[in-house]
Amino acid sequence: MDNKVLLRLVNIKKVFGSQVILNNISINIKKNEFLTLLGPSGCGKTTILRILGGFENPDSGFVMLGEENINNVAPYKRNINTVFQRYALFTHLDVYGNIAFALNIKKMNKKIIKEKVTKALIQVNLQGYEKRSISKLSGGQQQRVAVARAIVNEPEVLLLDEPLSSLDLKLRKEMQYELKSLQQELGITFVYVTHDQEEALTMSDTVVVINDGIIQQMGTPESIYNEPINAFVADFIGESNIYDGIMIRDEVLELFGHTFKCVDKGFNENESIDVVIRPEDVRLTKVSNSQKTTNHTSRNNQLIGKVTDCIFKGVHYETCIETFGEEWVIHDTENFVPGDYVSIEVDPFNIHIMKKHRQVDDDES
Amino acid sequence: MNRKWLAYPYIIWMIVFILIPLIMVIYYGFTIDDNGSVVFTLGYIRKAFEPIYFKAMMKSFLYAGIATVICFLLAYPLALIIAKKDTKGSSMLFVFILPMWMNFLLRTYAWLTLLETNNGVINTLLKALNLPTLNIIGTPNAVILGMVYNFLPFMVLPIYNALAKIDPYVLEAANDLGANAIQRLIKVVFPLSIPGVMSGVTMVFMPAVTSFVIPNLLGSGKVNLIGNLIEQQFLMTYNWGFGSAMSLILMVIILMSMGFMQKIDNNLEGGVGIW
Ligand SMILES: Nc1ncnc2c1ncn2[C@@H]1O[C@H](COP(=O)(O)OP(=O)(O)OP(=O)(O)O)[C@@H](O)[C@H]1O
Ligand SMILES: [Mg+2]
Repeated sequence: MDNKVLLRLVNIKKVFGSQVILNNISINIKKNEFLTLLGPSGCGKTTILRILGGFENPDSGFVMLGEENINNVAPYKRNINTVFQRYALFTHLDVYGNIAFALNIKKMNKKIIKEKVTKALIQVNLQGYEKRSISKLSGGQQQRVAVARAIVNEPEVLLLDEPLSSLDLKLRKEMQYELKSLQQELGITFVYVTHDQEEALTMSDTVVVINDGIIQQMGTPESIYNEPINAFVADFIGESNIYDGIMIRDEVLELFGHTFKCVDKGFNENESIDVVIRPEDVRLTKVSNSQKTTNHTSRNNQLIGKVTDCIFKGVHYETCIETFGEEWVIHDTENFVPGDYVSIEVDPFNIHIMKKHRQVDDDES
Repeated sequence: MNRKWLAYPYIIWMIVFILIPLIMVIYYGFTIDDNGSVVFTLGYIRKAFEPIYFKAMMKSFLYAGIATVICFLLAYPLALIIAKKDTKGSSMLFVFILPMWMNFLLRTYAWLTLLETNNGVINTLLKALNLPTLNIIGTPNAVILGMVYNFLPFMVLPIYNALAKIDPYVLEAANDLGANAIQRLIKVVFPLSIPGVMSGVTMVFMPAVTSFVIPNLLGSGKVNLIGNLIEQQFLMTYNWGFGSAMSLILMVIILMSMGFMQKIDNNLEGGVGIW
C-alpha cells in the first residue's frame, strides 16, 4: 500500500426524500489500499459506492480522484470500475463478449483484446470459458466474470458491492482469498462493501464501520476489533457481551454491583458507561457447590454464574451463562453442563469501556 | 387424479376450427372434380405461380414489408420513451393502445373518411386553406398507411415489454464500462430487445401480408394483394380450389419465415454475439 491518497470523499451528504442517508462522510483512500465499507443493511454502503462510481450525485460534498474533482464526471468517463451487487452481466453476450465489452468500446486492436481477455480469464481462474453463455454459469463463475469484466480495463479503483453475498460459505471463503491475492497482484485500489464483519476483517487494510449514514469508526482490522470506539462497533464487529456499568474512578468500574479493575481512565466519576467484553477474553472455572450460593467476588474481576447452555462449535465451546439476569456468551475449550456453576474471570486489559453516548451522536445534537 | 378430460374442450375446438378447415383447404387445393370423380391435381398450385398471381403475392410481401419497417421505426423510439421509468410512460402506453379497443373495420373506415379525395376531412381542410389536395386513396401509399396505423400497437407492445424487462443495473454496468448513451443503446439495449422486435415484426408482418380489408377500402379495389385474390376466388368466382391453393402457398411461406425468425431468436439467446 502506497501512502499517496488516490480517492477522497469529502463531506459527502446524500438525502433521499426527507431521509438523510449519508451524513458528512469523509474518507481518504490510498493507492493500492483494500478499503472495506462495513455496516448493517440499509446503512448507505451501496450509496457511497454509487457516488464513487458516478451513478448518484451527492447533495453536498465532493469526490476527488487524484487532484481532480470528479463530481460531474459521467460514469463512463471515470477510470473506476464496479462489480455490481447482482453482477449485472450482459446476457446477450458470452463470457468473452462480456469481458471484452469495455475494450471493444475503446476500439482496441482485436489481437490485443484477445490477449487481455485471456489474461483476465486466467486471473479469475476461468480459462476455457470464453464461449460459455452467461445463463450457463454458476453463481461463483458469474461472480468471476463480473470481476474479470472490471479488471480487464485496469482501472485505478475497483468498487465491489457485496460480490460474495450470494455464494455459499465455502466458496465465499475461497473467493475472499482469491480476491485479496488478485488485489495484491494487480495493485488496484479496492473499495469493498460487505455486511459480513469476518469478511471485512480478513480482507481489508482499512475497515470503515458505518451505521445510520455516519462513519462510526475507521482503522485497521486489528484496531477496529481490539479497540472498538463505541458499543455499536463492538457489537457489530464480532460477538460481544455489552453491559451497563458505572465508572467509579480511573481504572475502577462497577458492574452488577461488583467492583472491577480495568485500564481505562479519563471518564467522569460515576459516569454511566458501556462495558464490552469479548467472548474469548473470559476464563471460566467450575466452582464447587459450597461456593455457588455465595455469588460474590472472592477475587478481583470475578463473578459466579450459572451455565444455561453449552454448544460445541468446532474450535471451542460456546457457553451461555447467566449472572444477575444478564446473559454472557463465552468461548472456552472446556465443556460444561447446564446447571453447572462457574466463575467468570476477566483480566483488566480485556475490559473495554465505552462512552454511553456514541461520538457520532454528539455532533447531531 | 386424472384431469385429462379438462383438455377435451380444447381438443374439440382445435379439431373443429383448425384441423378440419385445414384438411378442407388442402383437399380443395389439391383436387379437381373430373366429371364427377375427384382426382389429385397440382394445377391450382401451378396456376398460383403464374405471373399475375405471383406478382400480387410479391407485392403483398413488399407492402407488408414496408409497413413492418415503418412500424418498427415508429415503434422503437416510442417504446424506449414509454419504457423509461421516470416519464409518464404508462399513460402514454394507454393512449397508444386505446384505438385497439375499437373495431378494426371502424378504424379503417375512419381513415377513408379522413383521406377521401373529394370531400374527405383532410382535403376539405386543405382546400379551405387553398393548399394542394392529397390524392392517396386508391394508391399503395394509402394501403401502407392503413397497415401501419392498424398494426403499430402490435409492434409497440412486445418491444416495450422487452425493454421494460432490461435490468437497469445492466445499463449502469455498460455505463461503468465506458459506453456512452448511444453506445449503450446500440450494444446493450437493442440486442437485449431483439426478442421483442422479433415478435413485433411477426405480429405486424403476418396480418399485413394477408390483409384484404385495408386494400379493399383504402386501395379502393385498385390495389390487389394476395388477400384480395384469395377473397375473390372464394366469394366472387367461387373457385375454391384455386383460392385454397393460394392460401396454402401463403401459409407455407409464412411458416417458413416464422421458423427462420425463431432460429435467429434462439441463436441470440444462446449467446452468439452477432452485434
Ligand atoms: N434511489 C433511492 N431512492 C430512495 N431511497 C433510496 C434510494 N437508494 C437507496 N435508498 C435508501 O437509502 C438507504 C441506504 O441504501 P443503500 O442501498 O446504500 O444501503 P446498503 O448499505 O447498501 O444496504 P444493503 O446491505 O442492504 O445493500 C436505504 O434506506 C434505502 O432505502
Ligand atoms: Mg447495498
